[in-house]
Amino acid sequence: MDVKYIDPFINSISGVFASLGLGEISKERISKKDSLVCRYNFTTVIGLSGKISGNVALSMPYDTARKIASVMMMGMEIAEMDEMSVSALGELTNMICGQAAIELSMQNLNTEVTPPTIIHGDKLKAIISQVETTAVELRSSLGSIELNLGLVI
Amino acid sequence: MAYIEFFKNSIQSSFEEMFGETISLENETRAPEWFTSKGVAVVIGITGGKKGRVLIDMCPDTALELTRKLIPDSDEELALFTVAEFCNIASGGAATLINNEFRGSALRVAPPSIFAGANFRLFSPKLNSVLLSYVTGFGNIDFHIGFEGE
Repeated sequence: MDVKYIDPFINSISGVFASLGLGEISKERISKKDSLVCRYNFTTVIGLSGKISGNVALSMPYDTARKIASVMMMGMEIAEMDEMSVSALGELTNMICGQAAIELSMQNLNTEVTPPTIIHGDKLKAIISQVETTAVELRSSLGSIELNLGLVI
Repeated sequence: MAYIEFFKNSIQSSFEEMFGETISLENETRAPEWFTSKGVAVVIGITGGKKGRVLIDMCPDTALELTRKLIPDSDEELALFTVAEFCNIASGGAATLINNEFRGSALRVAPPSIFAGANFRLFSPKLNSVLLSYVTGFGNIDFHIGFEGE
């Protein structure tokens, strides 16, 4: 996948993390997958339609999700993810994809985002694209996050 | 929900056309925000005048039986793609019916994302969803159909 389609999502995730006080996030490596077996047990997915269609999945360990939700909820202690904290992770994904869609529109790639769906489970097989998935491993102070892009351009 | 009848019509016609068998709506209720999957789930997001998502959920055995109706020696991997294609056809058909009826709606469907495993949970915040529970000769099939602001 051309970097011009990947960069808006990486730029967006950095910007959103900074604006929400989630700290810095850095790109570790990029790889391709024919089908995605979720590396982590907590995944949020958003669909795209328009000039670019596909799905974007943010996958992370449950503990990372819990820490992110805690920061987003003003430092509230979160022992178990409930509806409010899971909604916070959905909103995070919405903000990231919404911001990326704005950046893509500046390349005349107008794209709309769907509402998020959150999936939690161990040993979960996920296929977000029937072509190929680009996986971007990210490191943050709250833990590892994998950004998965299954886009049809 | 204003659009639900269009989805029911499309699910029924898509199923009968694709698998050549009948599908019966057994129950229609408000869907929970959190639920545990039966083992195979496909999510299709919807954009346009209203944002939403369609989610189909069934047991792995049901997915395999459906697929073997089409290709007798199918495996579990192919079963996932068959369920995704059925969900795609049913959702796309409903979007077309809605767009023809309500000219400004301009609904569009995103490609399917497929999930399979044991004991995984799904959550869709801020959506008011209807759960359509269907009975078929292959097993039970649930559709969770939700839109924002319904």
